[in-house]
Amino acid sequence: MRARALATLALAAAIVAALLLPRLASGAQLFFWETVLVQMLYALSVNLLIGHAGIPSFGQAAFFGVGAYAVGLASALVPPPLLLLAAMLLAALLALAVGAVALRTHGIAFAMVTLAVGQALYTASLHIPALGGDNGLAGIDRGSLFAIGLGGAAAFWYLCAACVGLGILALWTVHASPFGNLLRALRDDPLRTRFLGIDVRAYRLGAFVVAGAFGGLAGGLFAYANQIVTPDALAWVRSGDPIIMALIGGMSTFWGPMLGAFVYVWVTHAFSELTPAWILYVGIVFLFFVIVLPKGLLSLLSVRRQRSGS
Amino acid sequence: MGRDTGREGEVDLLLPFVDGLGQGVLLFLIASGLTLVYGVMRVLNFSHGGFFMLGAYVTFTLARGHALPAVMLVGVVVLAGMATAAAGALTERLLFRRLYPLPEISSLLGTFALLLIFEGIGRLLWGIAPLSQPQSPAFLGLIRLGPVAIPSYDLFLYAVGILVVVGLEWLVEKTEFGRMVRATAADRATAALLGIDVNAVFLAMFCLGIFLAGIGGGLVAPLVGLTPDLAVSFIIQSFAVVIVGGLGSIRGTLLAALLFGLLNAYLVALRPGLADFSLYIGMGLILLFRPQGLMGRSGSLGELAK
Amino acid sequence: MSALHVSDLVVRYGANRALDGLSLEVESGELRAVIGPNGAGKSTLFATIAGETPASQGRVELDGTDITRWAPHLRVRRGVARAFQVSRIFPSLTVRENVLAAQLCAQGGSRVCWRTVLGAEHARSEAALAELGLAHLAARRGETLSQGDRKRLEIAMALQLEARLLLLDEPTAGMSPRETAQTVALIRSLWERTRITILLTEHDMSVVFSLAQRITVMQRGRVLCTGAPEEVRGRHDVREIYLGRG
Repeated sequence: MRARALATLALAAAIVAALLLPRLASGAQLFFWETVLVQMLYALSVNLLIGHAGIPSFGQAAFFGVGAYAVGLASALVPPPLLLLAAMLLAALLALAVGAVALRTHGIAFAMVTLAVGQALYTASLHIPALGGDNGLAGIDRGSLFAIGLGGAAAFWYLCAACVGLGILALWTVHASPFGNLLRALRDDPLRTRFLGIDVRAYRLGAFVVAGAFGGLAGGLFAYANQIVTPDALAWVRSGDPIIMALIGGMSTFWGPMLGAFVYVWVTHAFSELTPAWILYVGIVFLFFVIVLPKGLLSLLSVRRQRSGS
Repeated sequence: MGRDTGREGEVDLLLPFVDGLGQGVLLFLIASGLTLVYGVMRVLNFSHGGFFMLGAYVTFTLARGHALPAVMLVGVVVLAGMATAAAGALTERLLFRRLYPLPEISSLLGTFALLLIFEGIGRLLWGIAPLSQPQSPAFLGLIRLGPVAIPSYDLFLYAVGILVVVGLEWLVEKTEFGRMVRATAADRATAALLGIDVNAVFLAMFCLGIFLAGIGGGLVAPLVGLTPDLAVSFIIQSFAVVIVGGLGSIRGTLLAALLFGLLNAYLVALRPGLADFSLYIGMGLILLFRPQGLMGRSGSLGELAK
Repeated sequence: MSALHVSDLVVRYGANRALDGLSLEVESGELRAVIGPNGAGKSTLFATIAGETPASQGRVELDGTDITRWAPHLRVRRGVARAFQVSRIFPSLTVRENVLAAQLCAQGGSRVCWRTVLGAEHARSEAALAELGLAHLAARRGETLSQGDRKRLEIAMALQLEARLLLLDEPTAGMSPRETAQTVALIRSLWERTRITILLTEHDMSVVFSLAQRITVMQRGRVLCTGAPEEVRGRHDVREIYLGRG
């Protein structure tokens, strides 16, 4: 029960903070927090696959990028909430198609195939003239909602926070559902799960589509926040980012990736201003977590709790 | 690309063939190392492309960006391969040894992290602007064989390819070392009981694989602009090759590499718009119709499930 | 009607025939043991009934329905539950979560992903844990259990499926004498209480003769004979197989 009270308190604090932030923060700070929120959602979607279902997808940028380009192409025509829904749907459909073929393999081979799918779309974005090639699509229109213009920083912040909040709520529901529980069982032992009467491939495909949809939502919000989409949204590093975030925070937990996203965005923000080789330091941090702290930062917390409890 | 084509239509179709085989050999050099390491250690090395990139940059640095005589270029490439292999030995000792006992997902993440580190090192030491290593003048000419004029560099690449394929087959099938490698790949615990130094076999195979990647990088250096993202673009190509060839099979890797080289060369000649997608097209087709790969024993990919 | 009817089953591995025209009938509510020397095809038979290994020829019928070509998970929904030779449980989940996972599978409603796991489901898994004497281990992770407890948990999970046919492949393999005795008692009490049809293989003849109602002897992918324990024990050809081949 204490955990429940704590959770309610944390939720209330998060809502109050989200409401107050535009009054307290500068435009640049608001943008930083928008990036954090978007990456939190993105990392959660990837962790559903890798951390919970044990599906090593290294091509999540495909869905992120498709969501982003959907917004980039249609922002002048469709109002934001509808367009974000459409971005999710498009990403989910793509995930369905990719998953149906790629899930014929598993493990390592699946990791290679998904990486290639992401890279194929990246290549396509460079070649298709309608997508603007290297320069991408600039001047994304944030439009308006119920006659309230979203061009302003505060108005867009509220939209972004609401979307991410709803997205997290939806992913939490999936996590706590029978489906979510069985995904974790399936990660532990696919064969056992099959002989408990589960169609393993269908469950994996389900997880892949859900993760794809929320990856698409994150991509769409990312495009609105930046007001420009470039092939960077599809680059392979973009597939690696959320995995690193999830790992930093803790892949076996639900909330870990959110903590990881905050840490990661903050650190890369600091490093990328210092050196073009920031990717080197990101790699070193990543490697540190793989070898020394594979259960992530949240595991430190729970170890301490266990110690003080016993 | 852009080479003087013959007068007749027939010759037009021969040229991509010549070119494609050369590209296929380069793909094989990179992908075979990946397959060797996977076959023995059961670790899929994302960072293999990083070693390739290192081979290319080291070649550039040793040649100081000058066009060298053919013999010197070959010497420099071999040196670059050895330097890369030395870097490989170091990472094997420091990093990979810790990854072997971890679950598959952790070793994927670990080598993925290493790939990021390589790209970072590339940016730090050589910058992000493309560098170009001029081709040796001796390798710019054509050699006429009957009705076909073959670029001498392609002919040289064929020779390297044959040497490597024959060498690997001999090493694995005929030598005492090969017997130890096969025993270790089949069952490392039993191999250790039989008195085989499994750690030494791992180190040797890893260095061999990385040496091939380094040589591959050195041989590609005169053909493309050198940028740090060579690491990832070539790892994806070699992934496609080993998936199509059947992970763990040297002959399958060779066949797939040649097929991809040819597919790419013909698309460049006939449908340039699709050329950049040749990898993905080939990979998609294989996944649809033969998920275990061309030469993979049925289920060789399925084996990787756990 | 027989619960399980296997007829003329052939399974080929290359040129080898692991099963070579095997036929077998198991009555509903029976506790049947299948014995035979190594390589007789017992494990293949189990894998084929469960759907893991495809049959090259022949039929497998469950309660009169032909399931020969069914996918494994569909067979489970039809009532075939399976325990493996080396117990397969979910190592990183707790004992409680293992049982819960099996219950969610049984509901088939597990596909629902917009509702959370309900209190009623938790209550049912607690009850199941108490019934199989696993309550004191509920919070332990699967990987920390002893062989005997693993088997107990695996059987508990199979029971959540409300199966009609339980396949037990070497249930006491690798167990200490004490664990073996406990497992035998568990299987017997379970069978007496639920009258579920059980098919088991076992190397330990004392287990076989203390549990089975009837025994089927296999040799080289075929059935040599089927009969009550005393009957089988008295047969010359059965002794020969075991003595002649060790």
